[in-house]
Amino acid sequence: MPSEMSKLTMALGAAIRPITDTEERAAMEAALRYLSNELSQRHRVYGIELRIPKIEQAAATPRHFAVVIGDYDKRRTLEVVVDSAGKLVSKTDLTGFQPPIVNDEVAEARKIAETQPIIAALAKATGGFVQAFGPHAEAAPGRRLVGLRYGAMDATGPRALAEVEVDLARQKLIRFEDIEAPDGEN
Amino acid sequence: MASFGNFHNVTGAGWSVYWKIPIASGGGLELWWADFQGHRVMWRGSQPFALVPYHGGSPTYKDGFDAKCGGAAFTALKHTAPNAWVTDPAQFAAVDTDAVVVQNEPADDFDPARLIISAKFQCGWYQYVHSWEFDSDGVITPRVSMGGHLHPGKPDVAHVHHMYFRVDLDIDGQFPHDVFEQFDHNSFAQPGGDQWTVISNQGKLLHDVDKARKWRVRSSVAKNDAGQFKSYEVDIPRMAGRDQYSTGDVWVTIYRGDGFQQGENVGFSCTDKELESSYAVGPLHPATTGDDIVFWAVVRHHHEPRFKGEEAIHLPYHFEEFSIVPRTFLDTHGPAGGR
Repeated sequence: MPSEMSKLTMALGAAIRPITDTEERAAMEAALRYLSNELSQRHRVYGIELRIPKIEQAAATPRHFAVVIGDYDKRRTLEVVVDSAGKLVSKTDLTGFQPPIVNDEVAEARKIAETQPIIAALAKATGGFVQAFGPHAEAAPGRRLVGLRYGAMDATGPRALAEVEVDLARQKLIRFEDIEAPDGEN
Repeated sequence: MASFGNFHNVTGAGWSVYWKIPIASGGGLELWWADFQGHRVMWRGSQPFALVPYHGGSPTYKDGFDAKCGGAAFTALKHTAPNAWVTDPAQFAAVDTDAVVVQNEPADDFDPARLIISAKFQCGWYQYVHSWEFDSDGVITPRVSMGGHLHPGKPDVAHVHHMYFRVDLDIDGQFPHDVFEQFDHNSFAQPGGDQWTVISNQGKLLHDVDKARKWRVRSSVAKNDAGQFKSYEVDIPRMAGRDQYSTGDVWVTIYRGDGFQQGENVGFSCTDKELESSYAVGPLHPATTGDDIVFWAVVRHHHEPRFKGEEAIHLPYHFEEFSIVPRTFLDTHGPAGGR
């Protein structure tokens, strides 16, 4: 161990080694088991991460796993922390918190949005791309809203074409805005 | 092994630090367990979100962790990605080590040695660089830069970047026994012109440049060889002020875990009011046990775009920073880089 490292950090030892696929799968299964009576069928596991609790040095450092789960129908976001034996450590209601939009959600939102011909046409633009963003959420903090910016490459680089918002809870397109660059841009 | 979310240890300039880019965060680079010369200084530090209000009342993005108001998550880029509005998936980091650069700069005739940990993140058309410097004088300098591309629909519209840092210092590892104090230079009276005031409640604090205001996290138990309580100061330069979106400069709060109060559920109204109304709430205990202090700090930049000139094609990286400086933390101080 380097001399710069404190005894406290050295005491973390092997507890901070990378999470394995087996641990990841076991943590996810344990978390879903604990929530089995609470979750609707339409839920998603956003991520599983190693969580090192801050404890007094005298105790051995436990290895915990935090599982973030969103429930589209019940409009909740939950974090379940389990230990290495799969025992529940904590459950926190993070409703309102929107984890980063994952690729599957972008694909699902695009499928809904691109049923509209004008949006489908944007998706086919030469050099087209789509990037996700987080919409305004004040009126509906629990809803899983996916913002999509449609853009395309032109001679000067990327440009934005339109913004779209899709509510994955209701499986519905809720906003479409055509974006026009101002005259004399740049 | 997961491609993101692992802890990576790096050393240099007297420091041992772990870095991590979480998998389900969107909040960028995190620094963990920063130890200087064998002593714990910081449990965790990050710059998880930004508020970016534009002139004209809209947009008012919340970028990063729990993106709202049209803002986007911080998505890790390969460190070699160009400073641009990157849309090519091949430029995004497939694993966390694609994103992070660790530099060990030796001391020279003017500067101490430095351990620098940096990564760049795409956020819509913008880029943010998270860069933390740990120097051999014991100073931590969290830095953030803005780059990428101007708003494609509002290239001429000025805006302010309010960059929020969350810092959990554990002075000499002695949590939960720290206190939070505020410094004011009130006059040139000697003695007594300068004053440290103990903060007794969690809450929002305001900068006052006229008073050379700064803050510190001080241990109530750990002392140096001279018998002084160990501490680290927080110095925040000011290049822009508060506004109706970003209403404070520092929030002092306490550690409530590492999965909670990381910036989530802040920004429902595209402001920082939740930091005051739901995070920094409750008493502190400076006269008895002390607390496990966590503070939030904002660095700011008002950006008047040079949209017809220097920033027409891309935004040259512009860094803003603040400093976390040891005071009575060290027993002695040798030559820079020489300890």
